[in-house]
Amino acid sequence: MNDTPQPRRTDGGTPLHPEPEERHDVSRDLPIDALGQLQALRDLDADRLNLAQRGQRGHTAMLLPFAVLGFIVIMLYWPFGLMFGGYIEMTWTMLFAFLVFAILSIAVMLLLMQRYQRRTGMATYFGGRASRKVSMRAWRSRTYATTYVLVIAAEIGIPWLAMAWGYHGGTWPVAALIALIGSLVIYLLLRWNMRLFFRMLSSPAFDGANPPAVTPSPGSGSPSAREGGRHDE
Amino acid sequence: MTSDAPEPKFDDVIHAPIRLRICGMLEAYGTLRFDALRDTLNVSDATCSKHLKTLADHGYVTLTKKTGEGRRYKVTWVQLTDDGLRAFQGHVAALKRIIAGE
Repeated sequence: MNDTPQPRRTDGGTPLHPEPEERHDVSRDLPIDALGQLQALRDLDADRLNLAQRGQRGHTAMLLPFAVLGFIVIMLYWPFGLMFGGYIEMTWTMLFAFLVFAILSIAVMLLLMQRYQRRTGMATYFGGRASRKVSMRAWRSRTYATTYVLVIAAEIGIPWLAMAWGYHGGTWPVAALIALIGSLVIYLLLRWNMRLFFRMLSSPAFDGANPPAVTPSPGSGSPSAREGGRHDE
Repeated sequence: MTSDAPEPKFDDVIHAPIRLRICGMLEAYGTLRFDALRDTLNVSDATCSKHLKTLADHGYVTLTKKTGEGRRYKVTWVQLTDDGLRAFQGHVAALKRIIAGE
């Protein structure tokens, strides 16, 4: 018993919880062993992995309607191009269309987020402090940063390509082809980017969760350690 | 710049495995729906509720009822409070100390 660590006293003997009657001494009642606690931390990592998978499934389900909407949005840029190119002259109609388009885009994003929440039971994947930390850490990964920039570039650039096609009086079948390929490219890039993100989110719950002082028995490498090594780019 | 490392504090409320796992998930994801927690923990509704109530009684989580799909029933959303976050991070730091044999 003397070897049992006394975690309740960390500041020179002052009890962490001043009411010993209300808060019983767990270290006396429960076997607080290092391996047990290591397992507890591993369980936390396993939970995080499960939730990350759940989030990824929810996100995948969200991506398909997003791709369909992407097709519509890119296709909509083509008539805007026609208007700007002087093929259709209706300034007020054009402004109104832009306004409706902006409102629609925001509404769609909100709707998709709600759908994600409903499906996964998670507010957002950036909601928690740890996941925000992961998202900051993710930027240190060159692959993640590249896919993120590519997603943004594709989401901004491809609709403008459709618009440019309209500006030069391009025909609708080609505009539809641009929209189809464009939405497919955005879909694939988003899927790639989110897969990388969720892989990082499922990495060890806590930085340094792999305690260096404990040497695992041969063949029982902690999943945390394995994940940690994989994601520290 | 202040250190991110929390002060190690063993917390016997959080120490229970289910409650530790609940806090771990909430720390990562912020707000979670009751069924997401229950499914991940692989426990019954009653068990999950009991542990959530304990955490809520200690001010570590807040439980919010919101209208569910179809507005026929209410679903519970769980969020970790600042106190809960501090307690959890301190507890994890204490566990790491135990593991390190300090």
